[in-house]
Amino acid sequence: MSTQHYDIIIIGSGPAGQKAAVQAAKANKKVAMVEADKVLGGACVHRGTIPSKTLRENALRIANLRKHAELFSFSLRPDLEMTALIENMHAVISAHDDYINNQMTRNAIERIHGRASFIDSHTILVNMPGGKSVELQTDYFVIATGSVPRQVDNIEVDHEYVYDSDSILSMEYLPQTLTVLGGGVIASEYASIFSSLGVRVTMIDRYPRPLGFLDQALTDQFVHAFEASGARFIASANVTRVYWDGVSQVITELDDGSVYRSEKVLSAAGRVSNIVGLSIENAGLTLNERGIIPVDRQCRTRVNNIYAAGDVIGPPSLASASMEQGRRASRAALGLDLGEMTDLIPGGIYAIPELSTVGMSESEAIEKYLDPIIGVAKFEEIARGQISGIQDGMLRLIADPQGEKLLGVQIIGEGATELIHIGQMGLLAGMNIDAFVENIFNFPTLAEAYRVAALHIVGQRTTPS
Amino acid sequence: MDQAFIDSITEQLEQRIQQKTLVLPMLPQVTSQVLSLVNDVDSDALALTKLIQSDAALAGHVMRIANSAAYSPTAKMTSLQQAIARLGMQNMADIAMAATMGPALFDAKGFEPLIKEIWQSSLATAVWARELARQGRRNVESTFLCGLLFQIGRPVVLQTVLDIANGNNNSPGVDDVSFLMNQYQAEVGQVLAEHWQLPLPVSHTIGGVEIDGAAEGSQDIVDTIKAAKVFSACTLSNQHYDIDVLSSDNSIITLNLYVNDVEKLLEKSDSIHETIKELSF
Repeated sequence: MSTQHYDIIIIGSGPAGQKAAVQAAKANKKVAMVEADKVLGGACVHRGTIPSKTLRENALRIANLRKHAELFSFSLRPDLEMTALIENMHAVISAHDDYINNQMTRNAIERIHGRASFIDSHTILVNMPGGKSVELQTDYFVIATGSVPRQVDNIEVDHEYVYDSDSILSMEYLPQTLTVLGGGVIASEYASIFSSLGVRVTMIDRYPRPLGFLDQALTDQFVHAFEASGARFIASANVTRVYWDGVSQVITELDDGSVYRSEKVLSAAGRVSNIVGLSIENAGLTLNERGIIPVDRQCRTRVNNIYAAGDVIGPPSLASASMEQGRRASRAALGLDLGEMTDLIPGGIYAIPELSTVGMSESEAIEKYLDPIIGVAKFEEIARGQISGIQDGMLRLIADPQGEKLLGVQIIGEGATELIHIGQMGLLAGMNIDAFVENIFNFPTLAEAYRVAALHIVGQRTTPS
Repeated sequence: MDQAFIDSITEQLEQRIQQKTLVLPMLPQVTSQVLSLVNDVDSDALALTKLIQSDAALAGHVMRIANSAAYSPTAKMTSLQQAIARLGMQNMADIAMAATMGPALFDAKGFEPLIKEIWQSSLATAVWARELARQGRRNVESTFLCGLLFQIGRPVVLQTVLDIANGNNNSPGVDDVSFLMNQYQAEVGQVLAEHWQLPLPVSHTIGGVEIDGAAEGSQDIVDTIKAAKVFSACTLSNQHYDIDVLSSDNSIITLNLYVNDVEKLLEKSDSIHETIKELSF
């Protein structure tokens, strides 16, 4: 078997892999990208971020249409097909695929279709569909193989009645009832999206509230909005068994004896590193106790010439962060200047309503400052919120106990993931709270909420300024 | 049979296709099973569900009736599972009953082995297609239905040819019938699927599964059924699966299945054989 040599090999073509490959190619290196799928882009493009956000956008449109149905004297078809809801998804994916392919070609990145398996720290075997294989050698590797749904022992995912986050969008029609098992980001996003589409959703989680890594003020608002849409959240519940009745319902049994029936179930127990078949042990790598490949701030693994980026190295598991990790991994491997790695990464949860945070949470601020001041602006009190019908939301500014230094921003409500960037820039620039009061924002806008929340903080200062 | 008679049958068959006077006959044993199950839907729901999902002709008729204005005035059902969940077992029992009452029963003495072969290969293809869909995170329900109905034109052609021949006091041989089935089954199947307003992927599969090029639509499902046919052929011949041969088949490569994917699928072959056996008559 002949062996080809590259300066750097990227395994995986998701957001992290793409940026790693392009970065290396721009440094005039000979780059190969190994992708097991027929198409490039990874789960982000084909099963995750892009398809689910497409569905979400359509869910929002439908929710808006329903809201205004009376005004414009029309009614929606009672039984919308999933395929109709995500019909533009294929166009979006195809456009993205073209974009990635063009980028690969433009940068002379060699695309190798196959599954990689480490032989040693400098060599991989790539098996191709049909049984052929090729051996590749390189100076550096970037592992960017993403993640796969976590499997739970007592839940058999058959992708027909019980789905996971990789298969849920293969549904071709909206079920009348859906049970969502889990309370994390994926569970909350899909549960709220399907509820907005008119599906009767029951979300069951073992914790007291969903999205437990967020402050309670936000999750309370989320649960309120979720239940107001007709869904139910069952807290602190342990699932003992999930099975199809052989006819039309999936039965979910809890350890307290309660039973939930639904047409479909989504098991959303988080995601784990995708290293199946990669034989990382042959390269001297092992997963840590959290089931991920550990890396340092430069995305370097314990093996000097092997880097890893994206979901395969665990949280934050955001496409945005993955891209930057991929870029940094390549630059670090090639000895290029890295620049400062920021810890100030905004988190976005594309549920309905949307949630986004940046900087310190309230609980983190209490831990560090004991008595932070929280400024709150409810969207229902903002003119733009009233005009646009975006009333189910709020913006919270976290400030130090003096009410001067901005520590963090939290937003729930439509547009949260866009609106957060004002706060992010404020944090990066070290702006104080008064800057939000003293500067003029467009009116009417949701951005006005920053000013209202800042004024709320000013009003709570013990020493008037 | 002489060529003149073949030509005569062909002409009459084409007329019936044009006039859409085609009949999908039911197996007599399926009809009697339906009749015995619909009396007590509550206790026989499971058995009725299995029956509906295992018999190609019954499944086709059920989809036809479930998608009629009487049962689904506002939306079309895309799968048997959806119809069962939406309409409930009592309605499904009524539909199954109607499906057995309307169409003619198979009257094909001497062709029983051929009918059995068609039924078994449809079922085996559907069951393998379901596994392939699961493996690739494709829609399982639609793929299964398309596997079950991909050659639904065959029994129609078979019965129509025999009816025409009987009307002319003639008895065609198995080879002649097989020849006509192969020639017309896709066209007849598509006419039927369109006339009955079956889900679009069914029609795409019927038309696309026998051709090498791109299908009219639903390419992913068509490709899956093509690959499922390769597995089902092994199942129905001698249950010998050669991993290397399977892995290098074009239809398997098209689905982006690797050797270890094929190995994983074959690990399920025993349970697939059981399913096929359980659902067969």
